[in-house]
Formats: sequence, C-alpha cells, structure tokens
Amino acid sequence: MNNTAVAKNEFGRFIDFFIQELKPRGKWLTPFNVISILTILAGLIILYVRFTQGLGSVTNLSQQFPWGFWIGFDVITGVALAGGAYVICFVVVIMRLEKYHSILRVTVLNGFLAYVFYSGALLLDLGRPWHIMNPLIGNSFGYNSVMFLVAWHFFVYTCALFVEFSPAIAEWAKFEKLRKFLSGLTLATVILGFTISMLHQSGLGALFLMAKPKIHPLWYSEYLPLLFFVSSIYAGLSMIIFEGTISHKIFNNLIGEKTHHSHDEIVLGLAKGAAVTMFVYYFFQAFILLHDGERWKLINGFWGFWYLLEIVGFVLIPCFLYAYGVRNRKFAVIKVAAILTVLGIILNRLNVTLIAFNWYAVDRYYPSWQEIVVTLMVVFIEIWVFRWFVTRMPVFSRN
Amino acid sequence: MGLQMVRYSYAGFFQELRKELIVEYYSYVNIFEQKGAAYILLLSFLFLAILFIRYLTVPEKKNHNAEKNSSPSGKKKSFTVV
Repeated sequence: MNNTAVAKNEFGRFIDFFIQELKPRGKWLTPFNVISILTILAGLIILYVRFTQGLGSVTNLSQQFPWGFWIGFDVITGVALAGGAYVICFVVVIMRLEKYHSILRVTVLNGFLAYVFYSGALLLDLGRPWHIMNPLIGNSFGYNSVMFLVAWHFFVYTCALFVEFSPAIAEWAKFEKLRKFLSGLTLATVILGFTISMLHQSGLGALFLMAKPKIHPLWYSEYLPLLFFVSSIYAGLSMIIFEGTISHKIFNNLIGEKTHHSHDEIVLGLAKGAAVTMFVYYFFQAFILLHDGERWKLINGFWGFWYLLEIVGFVLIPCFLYAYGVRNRKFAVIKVAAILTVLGIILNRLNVTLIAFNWYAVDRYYPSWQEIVVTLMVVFIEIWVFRWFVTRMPVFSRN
Repeated sequence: MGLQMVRYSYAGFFQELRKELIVEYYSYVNIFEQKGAAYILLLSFLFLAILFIRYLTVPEKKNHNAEKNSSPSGKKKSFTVV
C-alpha cells in the first residue's frame, strides 16, 4: 500500500471513530441538560434577532455605553479567569514543578475553551463582526491601537493553547507519531503562550487607559495594565481550585488514582500561590491609593465604600482565608476563599468596564435579559464541550 | 513707546492665560508629603511579606500531624492496631 492509500485509510478510520464518539453517553434527561438546552435554544433565537435586526434590538447598549455585559463579563472577566492556563504551564513546563503535572491538561483545556468561547463572544458585540479579520489579514492593521495587540495575542494564544492540548487529541485518535511530534512542540508553545499571555492580560487593562475621564478615579490608574496582569494570576489559580473541586466530584471515576491522592497537595500549592499574589496585589492597590493624595478624599460615600468592599472584602479577606487554610490544611476554607476570589475578580472587571464606567451618568446601563441569557448560553456551551472532551480524551487519567 | 506697551500687554496676556491653564488643568501634588507615607508603606510591605511567607510555610511537623488527622479513612494512626 502506498502512502496516499494509508493516509486515506487512516482518515476514514478517524471519521468513523469521531462519529462514534459524538454519540451521547449516559443519561440524557438530567436537570443540568434540560436547563442548559433550553437556555442555549433561547440564546440562539436571541442571536438570530441580534444578527438580523442589530445590537439595539436585544441589548441596552447606547452611544454612552458602547461596551456592555458581553464585553465586560464574557471577554474581560472570562479571559482573566482563564489565566490559570499560562500560570500552570509556566510552573510545570518551565519551572519543572512536576507536582502540578496531573492538572496540566485539564487546565490547558479549560484555558483553550475559555479563550474560544469568551473571546469568541466578542463577535456578538461587534457591529460588523466580519471586520474581525482585519487586524490579522492586514486590511487595517492599526499598529497604534491596543486592540491590535489584543486581537493578535488572543489569536496566537488560542492557537498556542490548542497546540499544547493537541497531544491529548492525538492520543485519543490513536495517532502515535503525530502525538510524539506535537509533544515536541510543547516547550516552544508554552514559552510563546506565557509571553503573550502576560502581554494581553495587561493589554486588556491598557484598553481602559484611554477612558480616563470616564472611569471613576478610584478604579482608574496608569497602573491598570499591571493590576490586570497580577490579578489574572490569582484569578486563574482560584478558578483552578474552584473548577478542580467541582470536576473532582463530577468526574471522580475518570481521575487516576495517583492524581486523586495528590489532589490535596496540589490545592495547597495553588492556594499558597494565590495568597502571595493577592498580598502583592493588595499592596499595589495601597500604593496607588497613596501615590495620588487626592484619592484619599474619595474613600467616602457610595463609591468609596464600594471600592473598599472590593479591595477588603474580595482581596484582603480571601488572601487571609487562603493563608489560614494553607497553614491549617482546612480545605473548606480554601474553597470559600477561591469562590470569594472569583467573585472579586468578576466584581473588579465589571467595576472597570461597567459599574464605575460613566459613573456620573444619569442614565445608567443595565444589561437586558437577552444579554444575560446569551452569556449563560456561552457558559453552558463551554461546559458541554468541556464535558465532551474530558469524557472522551485522556484529560484526567494521566498520572 | 507705543510698541513696547503692546508687547507688554501681549506678554501679560499670555502670562495670565498660562496661569489660568495651570490652575485649570494641573493640580499641585506635594511629592515630599507623599513620599514619607510611601516609604512607610513600602517598608511595612517588605516586613509583612516576610512574616506572611513565613506564616504560609508550614513547619514539617505540623504539616505531618495535620495530614495524619485528615487522612481519608478518618482513623488516627495512634488508634490503629498494626
């Protein structure tokens, strides 16, 4: 048999195998499935209206608030919470901390899906979504725009995450030679991915540098890029703890024995990392507050208390909870800290993008129910795809 | 003489305009006033960071005891008959 015939044969085998794998496994009528399918259907109908009748038909966006919930939550918050992928890749592949190797694949998969779905949600918010190719194909590069950097970084980083995860796909499809080749690319893609991640996590903060008069002074700072980058580290680590806890229960039968035993130590290590990063972030915030003497006067009234709630309630308290949990091996405390931290990151990103944005405006922006349903649709589709991947591919089972 | 007067008034006008701009767009920040507090904050950060990391570094003995107590079987080793 010549090479072409072998390739054809292999391709045919893969297609049959893939069709088999697409078939559902297990019980269909579960509460999660019913709720998520209904939400996805509703979201698709709303998206049809959005693409046929325009953004104004389903969103509360206006000239004063051109960026709404889809950007603030899906893109800005989603990308911050996906920060765990670059942190774990750096820790395992560059720092060679093998303890975290067992969570590498699942974290990379989470990161990859988050980038595909959450940054993909950007398409929903663009008035002319087909123009998204412009920064890539050179029709309108826009070198001076932070958007140019963010667009390229999102694209390249999503590709890098796919390459990092691809050995698992090749293993699943039983392409042994391809798996070896793809595994060889891991180090290079991790270095590339880590560098790009640092830049675009801070780049998302840099997007708001041009909106100085619009953002409340307590949230606006020249150091927004640095704050976005540092907070993405502990956001990602907390998200891994949070998702890991859920996955540990739901996919218990898929997790290898060795991974099962090392789970506690991994959680303690992640919590320690998150605590130190939050400690540093808290002091950054304190320095920024002190640097400009005028800011002290703003810690008064509604906005001041709102700011303190974010910094003390969702940064300082979870930081100490993490420290206490690590010191005394209290896993319940660590989980509470992880949830508080994730909520804190959501609050911080929404404050910068929506709540403290145009804070003086009389007519405030509130997301419409359609915007919320579409966001839930994106989250549910991501969970469905994640579930499909982990139940088919060797994501957890590797020890 | 007349020309000089005109020059003076122009200079005076621009000086006034500059003052107005300064007043309107720049706020004076006394960096010496801020620096003292910033130094104290920086020093306290460095000091507290050492304490914080020391607190996070669990001593081996304590770690071992805690691990024994949180074993999945729920049995403490001291009660196990070998």
